[in-house]
Amino acid sequence: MNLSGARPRGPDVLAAATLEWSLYWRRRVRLATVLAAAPVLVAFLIALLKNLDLPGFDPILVRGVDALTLLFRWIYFLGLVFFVPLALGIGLVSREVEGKTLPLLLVRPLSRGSLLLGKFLGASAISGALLCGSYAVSSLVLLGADGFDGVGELLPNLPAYVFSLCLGSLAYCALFALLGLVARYAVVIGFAIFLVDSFIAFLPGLIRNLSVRYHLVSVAPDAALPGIFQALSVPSGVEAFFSLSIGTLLLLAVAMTLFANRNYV
Amino acid sequence: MATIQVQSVSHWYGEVIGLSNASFDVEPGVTGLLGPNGAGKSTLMRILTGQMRQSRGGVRILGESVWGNPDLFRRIGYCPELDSMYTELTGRQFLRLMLRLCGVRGMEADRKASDVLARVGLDPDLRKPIGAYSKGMRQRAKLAQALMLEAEVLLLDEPLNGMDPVGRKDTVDLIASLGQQGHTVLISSHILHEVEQMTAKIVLLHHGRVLAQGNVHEIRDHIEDQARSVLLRCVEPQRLAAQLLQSGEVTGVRFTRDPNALVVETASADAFFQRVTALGFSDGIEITEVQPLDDDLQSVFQYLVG
Repeated sequence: MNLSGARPRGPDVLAAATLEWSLYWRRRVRLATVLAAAPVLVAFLIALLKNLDLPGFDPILVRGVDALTLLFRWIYFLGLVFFVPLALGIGLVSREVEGKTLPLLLVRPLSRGSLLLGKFLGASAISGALLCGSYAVSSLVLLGADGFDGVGELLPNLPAYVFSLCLGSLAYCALFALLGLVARYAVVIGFAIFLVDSFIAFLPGLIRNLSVRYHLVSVAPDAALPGIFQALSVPSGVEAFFSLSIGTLLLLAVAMTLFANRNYV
Repeated sequence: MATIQVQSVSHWYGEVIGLSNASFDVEPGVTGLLGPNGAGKSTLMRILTGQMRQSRGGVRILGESVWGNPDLFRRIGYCPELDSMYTELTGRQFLRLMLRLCGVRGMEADRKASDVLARVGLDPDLRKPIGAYSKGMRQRAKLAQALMLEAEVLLLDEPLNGMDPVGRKDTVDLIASLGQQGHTVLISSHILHEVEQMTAKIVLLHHGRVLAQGNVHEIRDHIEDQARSVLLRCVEPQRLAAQLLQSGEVTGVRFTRDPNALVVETASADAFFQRVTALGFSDGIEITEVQPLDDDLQSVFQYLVG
């Protein structure tokens, strides 16, 4: 087992993160951007419907801030915080293998650990930027439709919302970076994990600690669906933060060690 | 001291052997790594570049072990065989990112990228993405990333594939000059004459084994003792065949569907070619084409392995 090849170095990690970031924005097909753009389109649609003032339109959507809360709960928190990192993290290495560009990276004077960690950080940064950027635009659209009346109600929750999106990006990206390394049908397994991750959050005992979503609920309790996730006896925000951080680091350590010791043919 | 030392290296892909007890040393200058497809050249290149670890044996470059030794790659440049690059980037952007991974940033990265692109014959200011390059241009860009650090050791895996004749000549000249400057260049190819233009030092691989190594002329001398087939095209092939069969050099003649061609088997190529030249001038037979049918490396290997 080669552990020295897994050891990361700061400047090398930064260089690899820059590579991942630069390549993503220059790529022609960007699934993660499409996913992140979806709620913005929904926000535009809601704003349009509000302006059209259709008869029989659900009154809950009359206030932009309420629509935004629902959008966060149902699309960002339940879906995108999982699927955007899935689109980004799973291909960190496999995309290079399939594109046959991995040899160009493996012959550089940086350890494989630095390369993978850098690419992970780059992907997490992209995920965080997409999710937060998308949420910011959705907020502007929905609150703007009301003349920014509901800003005061949104602001107290905003830090927790943004924090949960960023922390979720890191944790899920680490999970999918490892999955992309070890599994052949990683995308299919990723979808299965989506179901399992949500389901085991409700199981009694220690097993639910394996669920990322279980911890994320604690970070942004207002984002959790009332009556469903809130019924869980979730850990405190600080506990959840440390659990997710440790879990992320463990997943990354395993992924880096595997990557450092694998033959690429 | 040898720059590259391959010591009893074997590698298996499951039950399939990729390299079998290969041993050889490479010294400064250009050395050709030759072998037909499937000989084990790419396996060896991947081991030499730390992409995979050999199942058995040892590999040292510049006195250091390769596997898990990323610092060594400041002194090694590698041009992979596969025609795959970041197609969204321009040549300059690609090199800047690769240089960044090597710890070179800012103005210095820009300067190095421009210099090396110009060196391989690409316009540094070309705004076209690599995906829109011709295959020859992509080969040049790939070569540029191998040369960008001016490494002491260059491992070039089929770098001439897909290049046009002009690009091929420029690249051959460039590689030969790098060898003369004291770089250690190991260049893999399955085309013997390409490598011959750069160096006389070769390592021949076949079925994962080192079949021969040393000076190409010495290896060819060995082949001269074996029968070779040559296609001759002329106006009167029957008359030519009769003339040739009188000589001791020709062991067999067969006629082809082409009424103006015949295939001759010879065991003594040098003497045979001298005789053909003489016949072509003295007997007015008008030989219009002389084409060795088994002068490619595959045939050379067939001779060597019997």
